[in-house]
Amino acid sequence: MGNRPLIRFCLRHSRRHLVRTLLLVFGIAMGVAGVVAIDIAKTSVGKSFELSTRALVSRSTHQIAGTGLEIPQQVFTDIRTDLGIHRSAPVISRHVKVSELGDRILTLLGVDPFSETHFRNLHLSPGEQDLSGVMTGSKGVFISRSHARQYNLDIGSPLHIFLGSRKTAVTIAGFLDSENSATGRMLEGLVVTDISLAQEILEMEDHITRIDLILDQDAAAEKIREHLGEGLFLVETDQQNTAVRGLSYSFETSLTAFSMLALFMGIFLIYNTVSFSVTRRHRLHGILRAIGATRANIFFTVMAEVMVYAVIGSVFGVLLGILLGKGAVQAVVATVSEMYFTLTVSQTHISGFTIAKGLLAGILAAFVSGFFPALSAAGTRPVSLMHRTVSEKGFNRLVPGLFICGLFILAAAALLMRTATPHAGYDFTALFMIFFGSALLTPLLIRVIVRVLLSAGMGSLGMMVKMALRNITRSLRQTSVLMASLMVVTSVFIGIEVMTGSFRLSIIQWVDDHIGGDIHVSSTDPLTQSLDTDLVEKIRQLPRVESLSAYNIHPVFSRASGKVHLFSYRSDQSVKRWSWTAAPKEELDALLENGWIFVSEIFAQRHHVIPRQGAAVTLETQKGPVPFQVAGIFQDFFMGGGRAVVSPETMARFWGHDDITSLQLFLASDTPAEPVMETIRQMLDPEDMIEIRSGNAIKQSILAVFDNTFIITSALQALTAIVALTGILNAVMALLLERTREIGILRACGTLTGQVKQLLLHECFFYGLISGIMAIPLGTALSWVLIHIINQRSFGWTYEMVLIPGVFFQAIALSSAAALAAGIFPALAAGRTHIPTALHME
Amino acid sequence: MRYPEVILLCLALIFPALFVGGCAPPEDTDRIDIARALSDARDIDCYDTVTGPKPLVFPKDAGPHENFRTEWWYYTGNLTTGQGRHFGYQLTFFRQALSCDPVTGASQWRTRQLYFAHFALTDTRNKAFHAASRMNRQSLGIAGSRVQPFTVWVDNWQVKKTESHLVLNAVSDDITLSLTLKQKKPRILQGDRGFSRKGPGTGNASFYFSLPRLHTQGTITVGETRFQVTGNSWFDHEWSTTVLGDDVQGWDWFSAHLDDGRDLMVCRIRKANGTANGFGFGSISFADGSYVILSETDFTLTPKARWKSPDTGNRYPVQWQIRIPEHDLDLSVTPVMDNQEHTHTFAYWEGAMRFSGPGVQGMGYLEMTGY
Repeated sequence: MGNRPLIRFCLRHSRRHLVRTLLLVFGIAMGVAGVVAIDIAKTSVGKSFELSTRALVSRSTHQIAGTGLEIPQQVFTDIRTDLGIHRSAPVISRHVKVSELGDRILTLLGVDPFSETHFRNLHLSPGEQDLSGVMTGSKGVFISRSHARQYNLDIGSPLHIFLGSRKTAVTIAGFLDSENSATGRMLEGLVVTDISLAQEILEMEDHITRIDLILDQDAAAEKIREHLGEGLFLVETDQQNTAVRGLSYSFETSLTAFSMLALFMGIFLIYNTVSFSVTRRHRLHGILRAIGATRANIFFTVMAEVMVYAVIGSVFGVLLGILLGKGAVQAVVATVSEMYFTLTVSQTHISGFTIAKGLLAGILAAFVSGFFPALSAAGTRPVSLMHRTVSEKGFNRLVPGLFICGLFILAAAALLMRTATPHAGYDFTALFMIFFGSALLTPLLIRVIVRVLLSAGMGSLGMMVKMALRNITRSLRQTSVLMASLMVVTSVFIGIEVMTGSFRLSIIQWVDDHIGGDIHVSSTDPLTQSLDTDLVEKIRQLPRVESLSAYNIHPVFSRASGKVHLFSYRSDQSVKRWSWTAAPKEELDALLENGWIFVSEIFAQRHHVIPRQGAAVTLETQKGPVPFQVAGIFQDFFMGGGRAVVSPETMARFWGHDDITSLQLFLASDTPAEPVMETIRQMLDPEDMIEIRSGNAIKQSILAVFDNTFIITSALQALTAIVALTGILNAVMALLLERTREIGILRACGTLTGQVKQLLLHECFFYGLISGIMAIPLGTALSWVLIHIINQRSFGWTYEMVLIPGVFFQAIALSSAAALAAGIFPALAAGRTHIPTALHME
Repeated sequence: MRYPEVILLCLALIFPALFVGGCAPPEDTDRIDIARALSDARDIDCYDTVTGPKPLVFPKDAGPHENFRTEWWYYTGNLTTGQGRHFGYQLTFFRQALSCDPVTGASQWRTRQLYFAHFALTDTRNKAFHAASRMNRQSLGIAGSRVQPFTVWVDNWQVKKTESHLVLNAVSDDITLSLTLKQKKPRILQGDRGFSRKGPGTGNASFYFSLPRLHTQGTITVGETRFQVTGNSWFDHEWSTTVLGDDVQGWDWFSAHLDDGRDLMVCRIRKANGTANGFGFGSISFADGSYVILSETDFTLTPKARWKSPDTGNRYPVQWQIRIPEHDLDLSVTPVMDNQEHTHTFAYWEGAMRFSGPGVQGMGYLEMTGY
């Protein structure tokens, strides 16, 4: 028998069940959309990073950098005149905001036009410019033409460059332009000036940020190294870039994994739908086999149908993914910018590869999930049309085996997670194994739970409830797949809820530990962050100030992560939670005094500090690279490349800072903060760029940053839920609609319409309830994995898992409500069952 | 007389491309009108101009004159190894003021002076011409010039005076020049005591002096090979603000060290129609160091054969006949090789030449622009 008429036959069949077919397509589309959107977000982060940094690093192979993120400009003269390295360019760069350009973060890039030949492609658009005095004294800057158009700016228009609250007025001297659209985007992240103006704006006196070099011989690099003084060093541009870029890799990988989770839900959905559809056509397949269709015919027919919808769904999914991708790009770029490195250009990048990946993921998922149902359809015997109950009996025999198999898979997953080489790929494979293993446990669990419910409520349960519960175990083969799906979805909800909840609690705890002060005083002038010592003294002596924590924070260069923040406390009032210490906690301060350092977990991770005796890390200091003994690793949510705490003596000796940049004031109890803040404000000159904020305000702003981090995770959570619910809806509908005959019999036996509805809704409720119950241990396990393995590896943070009972109740309510909602339509339909038609099938 | 000033002025005109775009030439370089560039008189009122003779004072006048817009120090020479292998070299430094207003702003990168340098080596045996250029601002000592001791430099290309001689160093890729130059004759104050007219307009003139014969020795490295060389060099120093008048197309400048001890320099300035503008000039320095100044009527320059550049398509008259009847000179001038064209930023031809006439031979340099 030819396949074509069979396929047509099946397609016609699914056209008749349009709602279900549409749900199937929608489910695949959503799964694919998630994968595509996240892939777009990821590649866009990569692209944005490239565009944000390409203008800055250009074609340089090496850079001369300094510990304090700046170097004396005289080094450039030496490089040119003594060493004769012609392909070298001095650079000043710093992130600034320009009020007239939408207050976005841009890179102020100061260059020497005569040194740029070999480096950057920064072309002025011809014709209109005012270059007079760019080098001799004007304050002319260059911005991208498209940016200027967007904000309606012209040559000569004034701009205000903000560095913190420091403001500099400049004018537009010309526009940067490029015919290449990518370069054009790159230019949008820049405000370019002659190096002289950048130096003046940033008040760098006789310093520049770095020197870019193109060196094609190791000998030249060696020559430079020998020449450089203490505190200056040569870094390889690529290596340095990779280090910075690497900061967010784990985060991005975890996003991919979350998107795969959505697709995984999609696989469950397709499997559900297809297997129900196959069961439904059991009789049809038997007849087809009887009139000469081969097993292969049936198999291909089922697969072809699935694949047709898979392709349609995938195409829609890709389109939807592209739409969602734009939102995802914004969210991901914002998070990456806040947590890891500033992206001055946000470029939505949609590659053919992403689209192909999305299509392939959808089709492959459909293939995998359609394969077994198709195989089972092909196994239909032509003569005796097997009744479902027969296959249920077969399935019932399998239940214990499935349970044991599930346990094995769970054990294997646990082993995989403990693997010596941590890799997000392994972690997520293990996660999928956990889902799959748990799904295999469900038939037995369902049976046990139903029995417990029945026996517990023997006397009190109504007839319909009992029937509903028994119905669940009666068609266990189908209900277990449905409920396993619902369980997985619910557990994902629990997992992510517990993770975010625990994280937020930990953040609050951390903020309380570190920012315990009632009032914070710090400089808002990034150029002179030191607080006046007289002011500090005056504040210290304020009557209601009980104690004061004075410290300084300075960003310094790090080969491993671009830059790290060093803290030194005059008096440290913060509470640290240690992941590891080299000595008993009470001895740690003494170690710090002796020149040891404390490092945060992220710092330790980035700098490969292994928590064991003798752990040390080499940092670039003003005296060259110096190894520091690590006294302890503390839990920390500080962003970027992490931070380290050193003693004030170490800070002064190796980095030359002995100032105070921040104060935390602890007030006598019951003292309101506002009057004290007002007193301090009155001590200041109006032009002092000093910020006085209450502890609460600071805490809120920090929490807001972290909440942003979870926007994308929450979006994925929502997406996963949508995919899953579509699946549930589809599966419940299929399952219930299939029972026309049974309902016909019930109705014929005198069951009222309302009772039938009630029966079905009860069944649905129990699907949800039991799934919700089963989801609790799985969800808990999932959140443990998310917190202790995936998050720890992605962000470098460790925090305690906090189980909130409310989440479990919510989860059970959610799964019950979802299943109940899915049952409403079939229940209404069942109520309308026409008895003769239903029984006619006999 | 040297007019690479054209290059400088044109560079100033295409400053937009220099700024931010780096010093790569813009695509429409060859469309820039050189004559317009030279006669460009924007914002020059505040510069000093050259309007008449004034006594030149040394060593002060060997150094920079920042109140004039343009200035150059020009070294060319012909050198041979012990085995008679010939090399020609050119190392020139140009200063160009961006503005005559004083610099404002606190940054030491602020400057109103730019420096450029061209370096070329003619390797006659291998028929190879190596040319490179450098450009920088006079900030932080990256480039500049000074009087005591006389020094002019861009990056690590440098000429510096020691007590007895000048030390000249330049390196580009695998070509290195390291020479000492010893003055053998007194300086020539060109024109009227150093006041050299170049055109009919007020200010179409420069201050100009030459060191006609500098005994030169040192080393040249080409790739891995090092050559000990000796020979003679010519040095020009010239400064001005509005050197050329309108309607000037280019010029042809010759210098020669003759084997009878005479050193010759002649130059004509061409108008757009190809004829001389009437302000040609020259000098002959005699073996005893005395010299005479020549005017356009004293000599004739006749192009003989042209060479077409494969790079730019320009056709340069690379063979010439120079006649100076009053001094019995009838010299046929031929290049040691045809292709000695500088193709960076602005194309011009400057190369080592052989001079030969009845009873006299010599080596020298020819510079041609505006072809």
